[in-house]
Amino acid sequence: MTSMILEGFSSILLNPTCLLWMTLGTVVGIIFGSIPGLTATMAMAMFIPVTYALSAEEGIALLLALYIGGTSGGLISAILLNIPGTPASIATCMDGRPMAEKGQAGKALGVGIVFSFIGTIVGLAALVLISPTLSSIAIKFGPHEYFAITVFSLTLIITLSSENLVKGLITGLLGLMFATVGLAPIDSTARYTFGNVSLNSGFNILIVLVGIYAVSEIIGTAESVHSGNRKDLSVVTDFKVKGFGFTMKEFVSQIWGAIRASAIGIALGILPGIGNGTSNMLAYTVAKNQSKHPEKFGTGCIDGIVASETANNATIPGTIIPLLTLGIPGDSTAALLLGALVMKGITPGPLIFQQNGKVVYAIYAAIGVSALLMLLVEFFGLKWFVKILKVPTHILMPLVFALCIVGAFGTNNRVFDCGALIFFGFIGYLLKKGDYPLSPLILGFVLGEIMELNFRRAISYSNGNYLEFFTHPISCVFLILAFFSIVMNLRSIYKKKKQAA
Amino acid sequence: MRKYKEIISGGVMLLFAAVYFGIGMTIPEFNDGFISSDFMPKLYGIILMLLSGIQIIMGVRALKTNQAEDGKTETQENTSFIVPEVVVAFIFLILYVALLNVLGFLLSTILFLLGMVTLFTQKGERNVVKIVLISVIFSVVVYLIFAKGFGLTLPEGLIG
Amino acid sequence: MKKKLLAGLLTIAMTAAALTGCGNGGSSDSAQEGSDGWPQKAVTFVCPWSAGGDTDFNIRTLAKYLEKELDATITIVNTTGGGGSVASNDVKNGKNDGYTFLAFDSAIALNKASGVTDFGYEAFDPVAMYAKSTGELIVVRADYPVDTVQELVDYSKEHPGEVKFAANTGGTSYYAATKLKEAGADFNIVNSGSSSERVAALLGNHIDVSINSMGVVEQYLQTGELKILGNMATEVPEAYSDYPLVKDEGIDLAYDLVYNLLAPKGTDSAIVEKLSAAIEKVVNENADYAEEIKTAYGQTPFVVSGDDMMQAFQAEDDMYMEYADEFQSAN
Repeated sequence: MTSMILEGFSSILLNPTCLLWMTLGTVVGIIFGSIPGLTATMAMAMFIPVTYALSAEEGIALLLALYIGGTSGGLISAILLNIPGTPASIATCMDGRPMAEKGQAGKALGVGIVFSFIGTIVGLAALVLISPTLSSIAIKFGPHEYFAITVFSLTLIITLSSENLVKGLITGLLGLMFATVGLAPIDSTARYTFGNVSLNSGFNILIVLVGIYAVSEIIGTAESVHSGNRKDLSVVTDFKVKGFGFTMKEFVSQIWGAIRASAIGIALGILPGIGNGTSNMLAYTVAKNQSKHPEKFGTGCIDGIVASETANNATIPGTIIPLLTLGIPGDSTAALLLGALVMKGITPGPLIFQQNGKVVYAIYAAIGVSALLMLLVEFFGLKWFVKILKVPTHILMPLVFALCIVGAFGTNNRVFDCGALIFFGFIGYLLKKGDYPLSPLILGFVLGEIMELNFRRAISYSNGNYLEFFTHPISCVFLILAFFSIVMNLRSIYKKKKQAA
Repeated sequence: MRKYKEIISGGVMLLFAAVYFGIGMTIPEFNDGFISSDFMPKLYGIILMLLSGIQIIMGVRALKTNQAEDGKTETQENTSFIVPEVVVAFIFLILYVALLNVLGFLLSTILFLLGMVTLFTQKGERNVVKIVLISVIFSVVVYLIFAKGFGLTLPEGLIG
Repeated sequence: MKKKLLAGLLTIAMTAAALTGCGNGGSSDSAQEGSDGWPQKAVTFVCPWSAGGDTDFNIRTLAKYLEKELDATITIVNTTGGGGSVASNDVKNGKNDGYTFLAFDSAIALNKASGVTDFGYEAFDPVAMYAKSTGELIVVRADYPVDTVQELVDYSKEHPGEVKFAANTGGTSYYAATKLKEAGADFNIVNSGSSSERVAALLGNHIDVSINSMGVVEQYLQTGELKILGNMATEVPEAYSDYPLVKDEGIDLAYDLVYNLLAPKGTDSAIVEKLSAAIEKVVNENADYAEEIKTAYGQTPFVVSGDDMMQAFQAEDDMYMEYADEFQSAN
């Protein structure tokens, strides 16, 4: 057994070729992650043919480096441009951007980077130490449980939109509605496709995301051109960033938040079907809910960034847990890893330690090393990232859009997605004009299909017996939590209104 | 116009919800006793109609309470709801996407950037040379990195 | 003066653009002349299932060796959704210049029979059936109180509507469920997602019966968590000869899961021929390929092309279309 560990570790750590590939992977991953529309998954798909020529350990290590770098890279554009590079960094925008506007871009980036690292490591610890326990828990989640969790997550929309509840609910509902476009789950009935085959797979989350956030930002720039008051951030970036930009004291104050966010990230990772697109927002809303100063969220406090970035990186080892122990990928990106492993003749599953123990330990080592590489690359790149802000907005924005088009087209190789991008940009612009919050829409969109799919499955499993949602213990717990979440939130909103009056 | 914002947006939502629900009625229902694909859309439609109704009511209420202060606030911001630059920007975006398959990524992007950056730059500051250089160099670099370097497929036009 | 400079720069820019851009644009024309130059740029195989599954594995492995054979780059794109119909529609309606192909399996016939699509193999120019699965298996938990398929059918009769059988609309699992219903079973047919999701659901006690291929369940057989009631293939596969065939129990349920490659209609037949020949060469002659598919899925090389292939496609189509009404009304 020790020899397996040693072999596994050394195949990564003592192998210069491997380390070189991983560094490349981290850099490429970060680039892809930071460009809105391009994702870690895309980068990984592109590199799969490269892995054919590498050994199993090297190939997987490369893919992991891309994955981890890619998930983390999203925070760069989230903070600097207010455009999430990937769905995993949506919640990072909420406090990242305000911090950048206050001249604290370096600090925001530093926090994001360090806690991305921490999230990955905590996730790794869970992977190494308690995977079997976690998988056996994951197995217990059936459609009733999934439905209950998504309902619970959706109630957190209320937290996200405490400023204007009705509007937040409306946007959330819009998200749910957009998610219904396409072939319905289970019976593949065409809904809202108007006979257009391109709409059969519905809208891609990336397109919705980039459209709603990025395109509306760009249009917003057009507006500021007209009014003459350009938001020129180049002024506020003239500062020296020491180390990671934040103090030890601040770091310590965030530890509990990081642990909590990691737990959420890991939990959502082990559930196949829910990934880091959801975990970052869930962690953010939970952090806001449990915070002593919830009103600070959204104005530029690091707690928000900590929650979001720790969670999305912790989800990565989380998705690998069911992948290795059960052979069931936690999300579509983990499915790529599965594909790559199978191509190497490695089938994950309960016997993976007996059959391919070396690879398992190599994976552990690779995750740790990737996390470290990500930390280093982003640390050294920190000053350069901030320099991006120096490019005047009126030039930067069109360039960013061109990159968004690259990403949009890259998702499915069709121009239709680029058109959809503009459509959502238009929607995002209108919503912003109407003072509607944007994040509930994304949450609704992401969760819409999972919720409906599992709701309908649950009903068919229990032969139409709705009570089973409550007879299943886990499902019951989450539904009760959802109920309380609604009640508590409504109460605090009501109290605030009374105070203001 | 501003003061009616809530009512108008609520109204738009209501309309959208009604249309969504209406189309939802056309979704085929399967009678296997369980929930069909028409259920959620209809549910969403109804809830949205309710919520937008609430928003309209809230808007009307706010309107009534603000009646008194009306005269003063109206003259402050004379900015119209939709600004010409925004319209042009959208047109550029649409043209860009429309031309992708016709002119290919490289050309379309160059043209788009030329137009967009010019639009965004204040009249006095427009340095044509700089704009052309940025548009061309950026587009070429992106094309080379992604299409050739990474092997990502980008739209190829009829001309190239 | 400025105008001249501007004009000059624009000319340079356009020329540069034309040179870099047109290099690629030109080649798609020459492909129409015949297959001599094909392939001149990257070829795309679209797989309707997500990465990690058996169809995905088979096409990726084939592509790996085809690349060397054809001296080309082959990119695999996973376009999932609609039981495979999103991908099949995309390829069917897309360019037929010989650079995009559909890497599907027997589900194409099932999609048509279930009404998920209104077309089957006939809407394409099939290239080859390049691999065959060792057979889809009927899997249950090890402690489930039945040991053969007949016992399962009987058990379901005794507990009508209680036995949860996972089947996907438009998939082979649905065909299996329908056939068993014909044999008298009374299942609660439910949707449980992809192959690996079904295994999770089975382990977690959310469903009782699942249809899977060996690759996904092999390890669970060894750990003793799951057991196989029968193999639905038409003949016993070399690698897994221990498992009984369902049809040997006297139940009328046997089908083969075949992996195929299809070209959009109108693709230059010379290209289709060249690709088909290359596939035959790889499958029949490449030892490394044979080794890989054996290690991963216990498969043995199998390829059918040309007229034999068209007949096979038609046979498959007929077999499933027989149940078209049944599939569509049950929905």
